[in-house]
Amino acid sequence: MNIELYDPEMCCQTGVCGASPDPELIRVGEMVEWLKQHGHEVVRYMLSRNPEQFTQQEQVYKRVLQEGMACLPIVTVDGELYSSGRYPTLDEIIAVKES
Amino acid sequence: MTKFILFSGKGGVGKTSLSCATALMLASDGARTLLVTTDPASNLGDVFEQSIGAEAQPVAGVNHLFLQEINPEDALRAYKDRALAPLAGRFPEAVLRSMEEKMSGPCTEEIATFDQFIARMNEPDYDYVVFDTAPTGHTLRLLELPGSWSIHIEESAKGSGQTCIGSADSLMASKAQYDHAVQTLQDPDSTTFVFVTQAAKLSVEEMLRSSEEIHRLGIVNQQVIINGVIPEDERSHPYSGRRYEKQIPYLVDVRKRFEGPIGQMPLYADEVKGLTMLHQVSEDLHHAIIL
Repeated sequence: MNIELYDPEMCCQTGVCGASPDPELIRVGEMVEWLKQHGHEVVRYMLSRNPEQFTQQEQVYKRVLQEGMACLPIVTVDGELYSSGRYPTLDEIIAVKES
Repeated sequence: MTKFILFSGKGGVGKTSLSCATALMLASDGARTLLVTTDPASNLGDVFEQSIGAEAQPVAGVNHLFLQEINPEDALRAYKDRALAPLAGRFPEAVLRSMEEKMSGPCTEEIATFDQFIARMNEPDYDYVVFDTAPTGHTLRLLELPGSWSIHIEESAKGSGQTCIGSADSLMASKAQYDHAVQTLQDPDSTTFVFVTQAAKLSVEEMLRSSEEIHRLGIVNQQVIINGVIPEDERSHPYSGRRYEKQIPYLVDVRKRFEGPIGQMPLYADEVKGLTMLHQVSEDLHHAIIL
């Protein structure tokens, strides 16, 4: 599968920062590593660093224009918008492949 | 002699004085030398008794010596401008504002400053570049490849106070520049890391910790300068004699626990300020530093 994460703006690629990092971001970081290790292509984009990706992906661009930053994170699977406003679980992503 | 000499150490140990004296020593030998600080609390300008800015400028009264300050605030502004410019006109104002807000944390500031540091590591115009305040091991980890990030997550999860674990691709300058900087830092023929410490518990512990951390990143050309040691002819004095007694265990401790070269610098009665004083410190430094 080809999974793309359009992250909300964070200070670095994972956002796992500070003395008490957000457990949700740790979970997502681990999920990304797991997916990569199992042969999936996973890419993470952030507006400040990959603006072209946000404008080239039509569904993503449209959402950001309409809803602003609140629609992030957006996750696409094989080019199709899967979720918006939250990160899916690993099970959900795997289920996409099986369906 | 390595082209890059980085001074590292806790605040107040005399890092600025020693990096100034080192730069002066090199310039006095006729080498074109740049002294850079990235420390917002640096008093480089006070030491040389002249102004200092974002552009390298010559030191009055010393040939071949140039000073430059990397200001974190300016670095952050430039970094933000670069990031936001391509978005203007393509995204609503609210999105841009929200992004700018997100990019205003201390973490982004550290990355932005680090970006500038990398630029100085690609400096063809000088024979030597001396850094007052080297990046911390934590910042240097930005240079590591993304593969190692899980370790940081573990550390962060334990609450060790790590701030940011970005990887090379989260930075603005080109990958090639970063790769070049890493290689330069790790090459013992290019870079010397000088740890400055006082002969006191906290200072020594912190110095050894950061030395180990830097070592783990493959930066092996390290040396230590123990600064502020009571000079020999003062040790018979009751007050300074007692001070020296207190320093001895730490002088021994560093020798036991640090493998590279170790030098000692005396405590000065006068503040290290102005060229006359700096020249004297440079003289003493000849015996304490190995370049």
